[in-house]
Amino acid sequence: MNAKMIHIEFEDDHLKFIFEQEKGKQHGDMHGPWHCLVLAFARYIFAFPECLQEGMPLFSGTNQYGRYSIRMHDLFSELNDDLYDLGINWEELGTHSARKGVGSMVANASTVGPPIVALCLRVRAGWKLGGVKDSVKQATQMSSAALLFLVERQVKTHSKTLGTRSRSRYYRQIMLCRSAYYYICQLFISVKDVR
Amino acid sequence: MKPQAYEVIAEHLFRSGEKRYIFNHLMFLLDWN
Repeated sequence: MNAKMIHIEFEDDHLKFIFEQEKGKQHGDMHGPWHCLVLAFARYIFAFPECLQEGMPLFSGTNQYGRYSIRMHDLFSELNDDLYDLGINWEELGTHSARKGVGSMVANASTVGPPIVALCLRVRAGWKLGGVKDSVKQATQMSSAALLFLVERQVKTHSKTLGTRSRSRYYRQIMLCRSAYYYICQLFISVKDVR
Repeated sequence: MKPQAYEVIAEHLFRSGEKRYIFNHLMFLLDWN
């Protein structure tokens, strides 16, 4: 969308198209032909030229996503040692791991949005929760419930002496505490890297 | 997914040269980008 003519130039025997901005800019300083989407598409066309025939689907066969998923799972297993060196358990990876969507955007440094666990379970309904994130999920539920219980008990205890304004302030504190707690959870998971 | 992991996987898919991985490489890059 933001491409300009200055982003297109000739270099040696090839045309160079510089993508100044990509979706999410997850890691924009990567180099190497294996990152080039255009090259990947060209290789696909040469490997499967039948897709160029009129009326043929771009990705032939049925259940393309299933095949992709199975092969990627095999690949993750094959790259087990390399991934282990990066601190990644290959069994936690899935085809969704490389995907960025609205859930990723919502989860980024948000203090007012839903917690990451809710995103994983509700918004995406398919993101895996590792051992650490399962603990956070339990802690989130327990702490949230405990926080609500404690503050409500305090309000009830002092309800006779508290005015309407004070009760509102207590309930506002509940919401602020919850937002802060969710923010800490998100930061914690971000450090551990959401896969 | 960590960018380093993406790098390893994308490079492996690209260099393998196997026909079945050419399709996966394209899908993988489409997902990432």
